[in-house]
Amino acid sequence: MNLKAEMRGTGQVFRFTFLQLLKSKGNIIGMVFTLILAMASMPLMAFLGGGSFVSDEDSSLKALYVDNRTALSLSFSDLSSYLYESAAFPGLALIEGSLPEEAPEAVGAVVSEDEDGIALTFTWNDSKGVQPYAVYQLSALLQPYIEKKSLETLGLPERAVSLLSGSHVVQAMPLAGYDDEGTAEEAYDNSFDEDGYTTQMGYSIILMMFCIYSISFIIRAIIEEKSSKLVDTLLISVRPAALLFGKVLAVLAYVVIYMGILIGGMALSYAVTSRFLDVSAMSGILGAILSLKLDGMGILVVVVTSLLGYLGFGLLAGLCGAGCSSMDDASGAMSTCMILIIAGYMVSIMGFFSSGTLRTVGCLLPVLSMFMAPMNYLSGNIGFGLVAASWGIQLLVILLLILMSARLYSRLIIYNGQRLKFFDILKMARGKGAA
Amino acid sequence: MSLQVSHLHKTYGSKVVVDDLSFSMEGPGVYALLGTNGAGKTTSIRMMLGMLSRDRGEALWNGQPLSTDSCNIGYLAEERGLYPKYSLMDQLMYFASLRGVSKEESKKRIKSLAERLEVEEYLYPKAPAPSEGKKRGFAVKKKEKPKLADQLSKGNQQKIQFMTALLSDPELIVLDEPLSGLDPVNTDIIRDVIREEIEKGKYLIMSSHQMATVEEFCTDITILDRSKSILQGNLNEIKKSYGRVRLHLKCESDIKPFIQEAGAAILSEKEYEYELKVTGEEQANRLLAALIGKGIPVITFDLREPSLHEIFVEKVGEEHES
Repeated sequence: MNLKAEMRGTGQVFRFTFLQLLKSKGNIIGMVFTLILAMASMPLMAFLGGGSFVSDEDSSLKALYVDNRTALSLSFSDLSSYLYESAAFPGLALIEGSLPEEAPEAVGAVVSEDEDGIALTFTWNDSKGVQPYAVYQLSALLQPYIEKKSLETLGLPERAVSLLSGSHVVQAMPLAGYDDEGTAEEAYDNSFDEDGYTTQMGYSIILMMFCIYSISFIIRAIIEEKSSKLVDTLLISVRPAALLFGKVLAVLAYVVIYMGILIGGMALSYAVTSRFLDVSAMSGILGAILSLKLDGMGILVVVVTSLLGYLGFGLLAGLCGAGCSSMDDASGAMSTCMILIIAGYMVSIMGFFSSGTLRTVGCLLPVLSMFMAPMNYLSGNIGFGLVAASWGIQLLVILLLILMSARLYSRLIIYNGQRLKFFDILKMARGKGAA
Repeated sequence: MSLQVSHLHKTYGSKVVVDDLSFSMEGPGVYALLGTNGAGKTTSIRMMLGMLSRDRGEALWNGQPLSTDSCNIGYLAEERGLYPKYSLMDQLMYFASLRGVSKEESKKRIKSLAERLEVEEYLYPKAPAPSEGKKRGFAVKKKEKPKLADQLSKGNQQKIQFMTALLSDPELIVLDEPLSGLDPVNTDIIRDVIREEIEKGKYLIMSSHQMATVEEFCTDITILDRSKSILQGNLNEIKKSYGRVRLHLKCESDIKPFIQEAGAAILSEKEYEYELKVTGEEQANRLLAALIGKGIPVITFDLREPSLHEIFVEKVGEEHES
């Protein structure tokens, strides 16, 4: 079989399918809707995560009047260091005394004591440019300082105060990871790569969405062509494998644009939102991404692996779609690919903490490698040799699928009747079935 | 140039769908593949064009395996359609590009074919007349949007599909049921285009149930019945071999007794107008002499060879009886 001849016409099929995807009203509306959702995502996440405004209005809080009515010895320099840890109150002046009635953009903090303990009360003048959420933010910053000062009044040693006011760490790890010499924290960090896990999960979700979205487009495009009775007209001009491959590539290009709009919209939304709202929750995810080995090689590994994986799924979806005769069969045709994609996603999430051998196998297996290999490479868990081996295996699978398509696709797309399941198609490939 | 189709054979499981079909075209002209529904015409065409695998046999164009590499083929499939939601012009440009026709050349050919097939209005949206938009002072009428396939009637869709077969200016044109479902006006338009292509010296293979059309164009035929070729050859020779055995007779009174006496068979009858099957000129002349001898006025006396339709029905009927 001459592969070059089989692929002649792929470019034309790609161009036509891609342009029609871009011209489709439904797709344009979908893209606009996606962009709106992406733009709205960060403000929504910030609000749902309890985020607060960090707008110019917040930073306009000019003064904090501290009225200490207790025996606590409050140090203004300590207080300043607590406040300046947050960038939300730059230039906030600390003034001793009660809040004057006409003080604009100022908050008063009264520290008092009663039977129940120390009370911290904030007051401000209405209509003087003070937003309540800014006061709540200020209170959250001051509370730990007052707690520490309260403990100090009990005459406890500094160590005791820091133990009582500090956070407690709970760790769990295999015995082999525990070091008697007091470096348990380091060992714990090695066994639980939180950043790696976060990025693995994010990457797997994006890839899963990408693949599911793509296969639905491929299957629908093929069934539409079949049900429009265009197959005979097309097959006189273009080889079946080219007809399929051109579509797979066109859908890839379209979905890349779609995902670009989604991710670009979210990035833009983050850039804009971070100017007005507290987006520290998202900063964690960004931090996790930045902690990866994301150099040129790292990007190449991500792009090539996911591209090869996509092509495999695309060709598989094409064969499943060609076995259908009407749009009613589309969901059935999608199920085979969906099962594999979801399996790949689940294994990649669960398998991130697996041991060396399991991880190696996962990074090599065709369906799993697209999910597992890139993030494990970026986290430094596997080397480039393993990634290259996974590319080789994926290429082999793609070649087999192309040869299978060249052999079966024309028979499948001419076929009209009950949907052929994937096992029926495999039987045909072995020459045991007849369409 | 020549087309040689030899021993095409195809089975699905135990069912033979095309049984050892062979035919050839040594020069330009029209070859007709005729047959009952399910006789294997479309399967034969698909195998010939390499769209369907063959169990046996080959199709050669100038001694080379027939394909779009060795021959510029135009094909109007029996199962035809268009992308329902895509613009017609986009689709035509796409089909032309798949056949390797340049963009500029495609535009010229689409324009020319659209004129010939009278579908320009669907492919070239009209710009509004300068005065149109200003009538009410505020609404400016937009240019019409390009038509989508599902906005066209079936007949017009079929004409667009017919254009796709001719876009590459093919040397071999395969038309599978080109006139089915068309009204008389559109039938005439497509017949004229087919006639023009024949005059240009193209090779045409036509499959149709419309015997009158096939008879008008074709020089050679194969009649398929239940996967087998039951009659094959030059149409004129086939007709000659049957002889002048059909008599169309019109009188002003009932002449049945004379027909029975002459031994001719009545095929159809309507108000003293008869279609008769005779054994030859001698029997027909005997009947005419008898009518004149009795002073019965004869309005029409037409002794002719059987039509393709009559040959087809007779031949297929014989096969089914045997």
